[in-house]
Formats: sequence, structure tokens, C-alpha cells
Amino acid sequence: MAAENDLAQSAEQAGIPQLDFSAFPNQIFWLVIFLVAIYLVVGRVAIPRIDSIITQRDRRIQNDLSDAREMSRSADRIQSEIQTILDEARRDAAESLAEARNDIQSEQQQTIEIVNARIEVEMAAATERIEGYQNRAPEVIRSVAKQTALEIVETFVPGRNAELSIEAATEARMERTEQ
Amino acid sequence: MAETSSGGLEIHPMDQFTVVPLFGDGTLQWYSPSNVTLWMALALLCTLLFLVVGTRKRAKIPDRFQMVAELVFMFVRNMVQEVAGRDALRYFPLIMTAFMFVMFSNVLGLLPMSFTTTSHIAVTASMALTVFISVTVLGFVKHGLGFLGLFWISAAPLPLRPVLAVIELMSYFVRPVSHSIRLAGNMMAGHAMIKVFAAFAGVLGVGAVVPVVAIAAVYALELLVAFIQAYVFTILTCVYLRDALHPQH
Repeated sequence: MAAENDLAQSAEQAGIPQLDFSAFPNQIFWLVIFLVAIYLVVGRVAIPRIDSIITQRDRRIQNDLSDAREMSRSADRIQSEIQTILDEARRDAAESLAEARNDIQSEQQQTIEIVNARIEVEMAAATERIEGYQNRAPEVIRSVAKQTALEIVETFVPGRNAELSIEAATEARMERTEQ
Repeated sequence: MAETSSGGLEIHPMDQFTVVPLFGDGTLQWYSPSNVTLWMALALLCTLLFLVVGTRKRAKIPDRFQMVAELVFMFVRNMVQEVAGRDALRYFPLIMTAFMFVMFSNVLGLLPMSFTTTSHIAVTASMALTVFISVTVLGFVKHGLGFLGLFWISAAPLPLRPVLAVIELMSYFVRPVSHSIRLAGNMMAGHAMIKVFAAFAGVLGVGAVVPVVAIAAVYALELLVAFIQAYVFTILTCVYLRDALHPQH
């Protein structure tokens, strides 16, 4: 105790209030009071409050994030639905295009067939006519040749009955030509 | 007093630390309201404004006051968790209390004409001893005699262990001393230095600009020191707490 007083004395002389032990009880007393008070403020009010603020914010952020993920998923789903519908539409369009093309082609085919049939009919008629002409041609030529030869002979040798010889000559000539 | 009366230069750098009663005839009883009371009450008020009034809106999107309060909250909580482990979060309110008290006392002490409660060894030693005794008791309560494993370095070669145990034991008991003197010494030295410069400025006339600039520079440094020492005091508390909770190295 005496040593303590000496130390306090010398401390006071040296001018260091930190070593003035007579002020210690006062400081320690108030320190305890205010540390308890600060503990009540910090531990009972501030920390639970800030803790709940931060926890709620974290929860909110988590919720928002999971909502965003959900929305993104549904957007993807809608996107793929749209894709499916588009694909279907494209397929339908391609089908009706092909159908229309087939229709047109078969119509063309029919028309072509009808026209071909008519062409054939007319060709047959024409061929028949031509053949008729061709068949009749030697007859006509023969009679024209006989007539002509007869008239030529009549002119140069009047009154001569050359009909039979002319006939024979013409037939012979015609046969040679036809061979 | 450390003063030189001659030549008009009178320096009383330590007067600012004197404990004086606020009322009465100047006698200081243990219960007298003193400048200690006043400045500790201001630290309490600042804590209240900072942590409680600042967060009164409980906003999801914080304003700047709430943001700073949350920042300090997360800062200290992460420190406790990272240094002392998850199970130390039980003691987070106590550590937060110490941090808020030391930080506001340090910063308030930088106001001109103020009184720095944390510059007093009586205050810092009380806190350091409280931490020391609490963690020691906690260590024995949690681990029984196993807590002594803290001093038995099983990573070291066996012959060295007794020697290391003595060293560890000594360093363990020196902890409260360094813990308290570091804080009080830092606060005291800076404030005394500012006061000395201020006294120079008082007698130098035009030349006072030099100490005034020096005061500004030291003041900036002291502001940094005020926060750093609060941080150091708190993180050391966390380190001691970790040793009590997990004595195995």
C-alpha cells in the first residue's frame, strides 16, 4: 500500500495521469456501467435487428433469384412451344404446296392426254384421207393416161381404133412404175 | 509537471488525460460523475445513433447510414467467424460491444478538448483482464485440463516441448499486458504529440505554420490509428477466444 502510494506520488510528479491510481476506481466503475449499457444496446437491440435485416434481404434475394429462374424456364418453354407451332405450320405449308403441285400436274396431264387423243383421232382421219387419195391415185392416173393417149392417137391418126392397144400399153407402163 | 516555465514555452501534453469530476469541489470519489463518465456516455450515445437509429427504417435497400452500420456489423462478425470459428459467433455480441466502445472512444478522443477514455491503462487493462480471465475460464470449462494442451506443442520435437511450454505459458500471461498497453500507449502517445506540437505553435508566431501542418498530418495518422487499434484490440480478443475454444494447434 505504501509502495503504491509512492508510485502514485511519483507518477503525479512525473505528470502521467494514467498512473494516478486514485482515479482508477472511478474509471473502472464507469467503464463497467457503460460497457453493460453498450452491451445492452448492441446485443439486445442492434445485433438482432441488423441480423434480421440481413437475413430477410438474403431471403428476398434468394426468392427473387428463384423466381427469375422459374420465369426464365417458362420463357424457354414458351419459346419451344412457339418453335413447335412454327415447325407444324411450316410442315402444313409444305404439304399443301406439294398437294397443289400434284393437282396442277395431274390437271396438266389430263389436258395433255385429251389433246393427244384428239390429235390422234384427227391424225387417223387425215391418214385415212391420205390413204384414200393414194389408193385412188393409180386409177385416176390410169384413166387420165388412157384418155390422154387416146386423144393424142385420135389427133395424129384419126379414125384408128387404138383403144385396146393403148389399154395394154398403159397397163404395162403402170405395172413397171409400180414395181 | 513536465513543463519549462522559462521563455514562455509551457507544455502540458499530459494534462488532457487528467480525470476530473464534473461537479462538486474537485474531490474524486469512485462514484463521482467525471469526464470519464461524460466521454463514455458519448461513446454509448454514438453507438446508439450509429447502430440503432441508423437502422431504424430496417430497409431492404439501405440508406447510407444503415449501409455503414451493416458494413461494420458484417466486418466484425466475419472477423469473429474467420479468426475464432463458427462456434465463436455466440460471443459475437460481446466482441461487437468491445469494438464499438473502443472505436468510438478512440475517435471521440480525437476531438479537440476531449478526453480519451481508452488512453487510460485503468480502462484498457480492465477490459484486457476481463478478456483474459473470461477466455481462460472458458477454456477450462470447455476442455477441462485439456486446455493445457495449448501449451504443449505436439508439433514440436519431444525434448523441446517442456521448454516451449514454459515460453508459451509466459507469453500467455503477458497477453493482457500487451493487449492493454498497446491500446492505451497508442492513444496516449498520439494525443500527447499533438499537444506538444500545439504548444510549439503557440510560441512560434508566423513560424507556427510548420507545427500546424505537422498537427494536421499527425491528426490524419491518429485517425487511422484510432480505427486500427480498435481493430487490433478486437482481433486479438478473437485470437484469444479461438485459443480457448480450440486449444489444439
